[in-house]
Amino acid sequence: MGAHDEGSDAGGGVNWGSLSEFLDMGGYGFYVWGSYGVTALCICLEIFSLKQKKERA
Amino acid sequence: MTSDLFRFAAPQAFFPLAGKLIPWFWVLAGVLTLAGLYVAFFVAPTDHQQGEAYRIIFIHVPAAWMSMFLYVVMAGWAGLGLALNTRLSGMMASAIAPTGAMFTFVALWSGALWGRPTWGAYWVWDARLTSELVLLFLYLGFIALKSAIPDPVRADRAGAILALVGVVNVPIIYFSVQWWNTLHQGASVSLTRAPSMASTMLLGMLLMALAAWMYSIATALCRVRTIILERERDAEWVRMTKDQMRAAA
Repeated sequence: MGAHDEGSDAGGGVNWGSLSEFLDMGGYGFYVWGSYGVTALCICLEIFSLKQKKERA
Repeated sequence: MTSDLFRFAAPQAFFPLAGKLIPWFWVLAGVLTLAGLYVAFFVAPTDHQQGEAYRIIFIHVPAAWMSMFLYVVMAGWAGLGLALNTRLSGMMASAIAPTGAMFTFVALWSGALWGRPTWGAYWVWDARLTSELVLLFLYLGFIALKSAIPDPVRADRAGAILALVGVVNVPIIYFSVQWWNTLHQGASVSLTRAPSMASTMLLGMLLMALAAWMYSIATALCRVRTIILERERDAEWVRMTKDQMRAAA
């Protein structure tokens, strides 16, 4: 690991200069947000179905 | 101590206990997720080989761990029910299955989205990926089989046999990267050697894994409570509990 200090600098490890940079994920935005988004969706669906089952019980 | 444990094996005693524990697990899951996401995006540095694409690891690895772990726990409960004929065991197994299936799907999905930028393909019929897909089918088969049998006692028994036979798949998933030549990388974290990643990356992954644990416990306890209410609906205490819950709502 040569240049591994890039993100772990003194500023609390700020990786992103702006919101658009954050959303772009270094060009991998589709893959990264596709993973996190679908995971969040699955969790929401599961919690929603649990709530429904609870009300029906 | 053991008599206390067995007391909570009765659905009637377990129901209020689970109700008291659930909010705590939700809170822990929420706090750990927020901390994990913060570390994942704002503390952990960019990977020098994969760039930002590696950040999928914070979803992928905890989900894959949970998918295997929950299957073992589910099969354990199912086996216990088969051996001891305890009512609650089969209900616990049923309560865990949907969450396990969800994490298996998430592991496959995030893996596909990670595979495309790093290997150039969303999917390959590689030993690790294929055995994880089999795990998803085992979960779905378990759920379908149990819901296809109307008698809960027979459903528990049939489900338990399927779950126990399927458990052989878990070590296959785990060791697939050593047993076969696969595209999938080996374990990043091991108990016997130092982790092959930056400590902040490891911290983010462990926080997300703990959050997944707390989430799984919360959902399983929620689900087992509704299963108890359904299955024991003719019992006097269930009628009284339902009246109380309605009055409180």
